[in-house]
Amino acid sequence: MPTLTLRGKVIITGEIEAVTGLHIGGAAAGLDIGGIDNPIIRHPVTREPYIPGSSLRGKMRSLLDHHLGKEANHFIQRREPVVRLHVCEDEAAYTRCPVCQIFGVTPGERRGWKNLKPARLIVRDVHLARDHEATERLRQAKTDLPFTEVKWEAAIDRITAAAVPRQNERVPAGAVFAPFELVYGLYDLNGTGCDRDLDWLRYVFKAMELLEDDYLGGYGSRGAGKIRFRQIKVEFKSRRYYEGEVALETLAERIDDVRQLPVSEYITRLQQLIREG
Amino acid sequence: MPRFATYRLRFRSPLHIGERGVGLEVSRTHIPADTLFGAVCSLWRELYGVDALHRDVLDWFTEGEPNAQPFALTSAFPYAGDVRFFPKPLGRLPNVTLADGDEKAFKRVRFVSERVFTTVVMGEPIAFQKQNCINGGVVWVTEEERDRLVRWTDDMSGDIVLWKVAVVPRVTLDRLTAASEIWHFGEVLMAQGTGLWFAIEFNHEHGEELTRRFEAVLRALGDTGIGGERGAGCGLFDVDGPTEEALPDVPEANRFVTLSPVCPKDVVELERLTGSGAAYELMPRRGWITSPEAMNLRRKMVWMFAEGSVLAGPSLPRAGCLVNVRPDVCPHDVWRYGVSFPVGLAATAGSSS
Repeated sequence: MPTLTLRGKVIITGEIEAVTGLHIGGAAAGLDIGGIDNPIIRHPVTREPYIPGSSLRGKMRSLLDHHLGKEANHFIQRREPVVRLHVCEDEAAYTRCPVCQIFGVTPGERRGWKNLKPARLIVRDVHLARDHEATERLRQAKTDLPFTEVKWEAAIDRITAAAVPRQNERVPAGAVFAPFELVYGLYDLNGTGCDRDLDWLRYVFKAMELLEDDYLGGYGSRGAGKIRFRQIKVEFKSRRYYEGEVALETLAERIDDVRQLPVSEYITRLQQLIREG
Repeated sequence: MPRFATYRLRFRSPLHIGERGVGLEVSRTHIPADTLFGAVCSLWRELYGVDALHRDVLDWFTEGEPNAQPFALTSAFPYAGDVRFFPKPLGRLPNVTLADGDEKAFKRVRFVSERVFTTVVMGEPIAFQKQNCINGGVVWVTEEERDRLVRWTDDMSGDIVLWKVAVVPRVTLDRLTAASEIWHFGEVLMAQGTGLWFAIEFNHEHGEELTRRFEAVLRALGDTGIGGERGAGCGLFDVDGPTEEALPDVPEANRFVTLSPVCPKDVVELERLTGSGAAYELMPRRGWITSPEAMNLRRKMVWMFAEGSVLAGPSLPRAGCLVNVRPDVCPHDVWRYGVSFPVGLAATAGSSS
């Protein structure tokens, strides 16, 4: 029987700043007269806006697909509009594919695969930063709706200049969401070590970098959704940490630019920590 | 009252515990013990290997004597601040008095507070008060506990809101055209200061190492997540505890409320459990398998008595067993936990109608 051993988890935390207005769509509660056309997603208990982990993770996967030139071969929906993404269909490709290994493969005929590992990356929902001055400013600002602005946009007829307006709800620029948390599992399959898992950690940071230069949520081509990762902290929790024998290992702290992260150094340090058990 | 090690799970993210529905829209608001046990076993294997999982845990349940089992655990039920909630004991409760017209409100109640639960199982008289039902009417508390929960009052509805089940829209975008496919997902979101608690009784003959490993597994599980959509961050938690806490009990009672799902060992046990005075709910336990050899396989379905069921017979030895739900194509066994966690019920408490 194959063996699978968890060597530890790399935890990447920090803050996300909305550099421009952020619109992550939610469902309209009802058809209110004068209600907003395109509301954003809100926490049902606190009613504060938040960034769903699925939005962050989905965008990271999508950007890595593009960055690595992955074929869009897997159909989520075959009828119009067609929706496809990349998922490896044979095991040989999977063993070489960082996207499918980091983010997982969807259900299908994977039964005979010998080298299947669990998805490595977990991405948590990110809430408005509690007690942060940016959140306090937003609270004081008396915006159109709690914590959000209503932005009017219009499509203009090219001949008559007649306008078709619409309203979009956005979290204003300057809002800070924290803590974001990415959890990256390091697995050893059949005693072959987890060097490859470690090496692919760099793609997680690469995806964060790509995301900063792209957008999160909707209306990105019209300026919304630019974000920045700040105060990044990288930690490692080994098995011995979970057993309460060693302290949390901090690999980096308070780094404001994802491009400044010396990833290779962490990988070397992690290799050393894993060798020590 | 017996005391048990109690752990509290403070969720850092929403929780999705699948329930019967059309798709992924429905979620339970507690974690049944079999789900918790399955998740613990899965992580035990990841941290210590398959052999250790069998040696430390599974073989004792499947091959050993009932009193040699390494631990027994309850399902994880909600708590808020220092108030714990329990499943409402099922069936007619003669020591509970209802005002006219309150039957529907009483029927809506899924969880009761510790004080209410203790009074009910001890068979002491208690009056149901509709105004003390919170969280949309699904939780019944005493007046004094209601005062302790007042800080969770929602400004808009005036109700005390401890958790909510939200249906969240999710979207998949086409990689070439960015065309979207929308789907919906149900998740439980808990207010700050609330979470889920469970009690565990360790068999001390297995030594301290078992407890140490269990706690390591539980902490690692917190960073892996429990339930569905773990990749999107669902089910992540921090662990508090253990604390030694008491659970009510009536020794030598001839009926008990179970705090974990129960799967009877055989027909004889089934007949005993459903004997005179029993009131129970059956729930189908089904879902998926997660292991390196068997991803994306549906496990066999098994029916169990739900938590809160009132079952006949003495509390001890514990009723129920582990049940193998391995699908035919799966290369290894898949065990679901179905051992009772009994709370003895006073003769004056509940009875079947």
